[in-house]
Amino acid sequence: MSAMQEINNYMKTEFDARSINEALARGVAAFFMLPLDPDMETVADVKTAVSEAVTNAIIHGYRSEGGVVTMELTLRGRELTVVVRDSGVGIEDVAKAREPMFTTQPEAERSGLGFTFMETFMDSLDVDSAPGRGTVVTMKKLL
Amino acid sequence: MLKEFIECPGALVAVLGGEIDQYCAAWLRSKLDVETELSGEKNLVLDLSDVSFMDSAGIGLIIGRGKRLASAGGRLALAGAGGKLKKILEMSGVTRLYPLYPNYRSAVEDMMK
Ligand SMILES: Nc1ncnc2c1ncn2[C@@H]1O[C@H](COP(=O)(O)OP(=O)(O)OP(=O)(O)O)[C@@H](O)[C@H]1O
Ligand SMILES: [Mg+2]
Repeated sequence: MSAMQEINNYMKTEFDARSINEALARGVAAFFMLPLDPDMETVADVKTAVSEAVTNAIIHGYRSEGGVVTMELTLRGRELTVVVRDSGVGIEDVAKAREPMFTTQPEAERSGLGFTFMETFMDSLDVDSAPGRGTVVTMKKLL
Repeated sequence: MLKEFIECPGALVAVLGGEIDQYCAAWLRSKLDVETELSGEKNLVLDLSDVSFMDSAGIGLIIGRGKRLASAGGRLALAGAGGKLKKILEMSGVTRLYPLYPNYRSAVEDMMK
């Protein structure tokens, strides 16, 4: 593939809010990036961020009771955008939720590091959420 | 994923592998706790050299085991993590709580002292 050629691509996938689909979502994101031949480190970063967003949708958004998670992937040149969406319970205080070590499930041995990982491993993170309205997580990374 | 347990003098070693996420965390947690109990060992070493992926669910699992062992007077040690995994462990502060050794043998050796 010519290095000059711009790759613009888009895909949307919907899946059951079950933990078994976390690996599926990571894998789909990794394959989507493949034409750009990103280094292993970058692929690992994106896989971690996707895993965090999708896991949160499943266990927090839908409280492990099921639902539908949507993941959209967009490539514009070397910029990857990942959007993970749930129609679950939503987040009361997004700023608080994004703080390192903050978790509403300490009894489930959660470390409260999901958002911190998304922020660290991607170039940008945006969280749009309100109680009863679900949550949309948008992450970008230059590959 | 859990590959095997190795019983050593002074510590039980759990060799983990593959991908550690929310999907297997609860299952893995109970496997580790039950086997630790059965072995009668106070100390646990998690060999992570074959782990290809870990997210925050794995961090929660590690910290949870560390706390549980400490409350019973034991210790947790980590072994074999490199590259990206090591970066995640360092970033989350786990390596400041539980020492990371190059391999499980050096961890066990240190725990016997
Ligand atoms: N999609 C979501 N819907 C509802 N609440 C969410 C969602 N994502 C995150 N949250 C809330 O934000 C908090 C922080 O999320 P974060 O991923 O940082 O930590 P955690 O999931 O609690 O723990 P960890 O990710 O370390 O296992 C969660 O405890 C939860 O209350
Ligand atoms: Mg999380």
